[in-house]
Amino acid sequence: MGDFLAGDANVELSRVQDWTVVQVIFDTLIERALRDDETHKAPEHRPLRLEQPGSGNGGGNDPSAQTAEPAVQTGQHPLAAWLKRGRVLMQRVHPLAMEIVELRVQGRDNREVADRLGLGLRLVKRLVGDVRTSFDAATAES
Amino acid sequence: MLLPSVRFTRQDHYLADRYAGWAATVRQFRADWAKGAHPDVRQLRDYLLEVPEQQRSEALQDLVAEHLHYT
Repeated sequence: MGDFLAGDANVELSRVQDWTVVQVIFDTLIERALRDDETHKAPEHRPLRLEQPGSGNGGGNDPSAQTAEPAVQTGQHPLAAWLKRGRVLMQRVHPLAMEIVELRVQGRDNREVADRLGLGLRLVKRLVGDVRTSFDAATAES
Repeated sequence: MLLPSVRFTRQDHYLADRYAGWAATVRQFRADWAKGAHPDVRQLRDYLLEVPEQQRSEALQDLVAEHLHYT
């Protein structure tokens, strides 16, 4: 996993046996990207490496700042910027958008998402469509 | 395992939910049915009063699907 995060190994996805490992990797990336955004510690071209245990700063997650437009930060890692942008876009669409996208990424179809969240199928389809529209608009702007 | 962002989002459920009426009407239908009320298909329109007009046609599709499911 450390090699994968360092970006100096060829990871053949077809050989991945345990996708929970991949999920852990991306959770780690997201947590660090969010922390970087909050602490403004994102030196340019910094390699993505796993931190040693105990070296983290604890996060400092302020819910009141979650809907704010992400500041443009020079030197911010592209992945961190993309993740934060995506999170803000989804929060604008709907409070449940993140959960719906997460369930879809896990391979569940709209019917299963609707059952899991207690929503109607048509509403889930509408929300998925809204997320797509939001991302398409953001892509067109950039 | 949940993405960290989801934990933040859950704190803000329904604070700015433009589909809250739509979701609530489906929940209300399920609750009514569970209590023993079995509304006729024609009564489904009554559930749409709290749903914004531009969402009513799609919300009705969810209600009809629920009705078919329970019957």
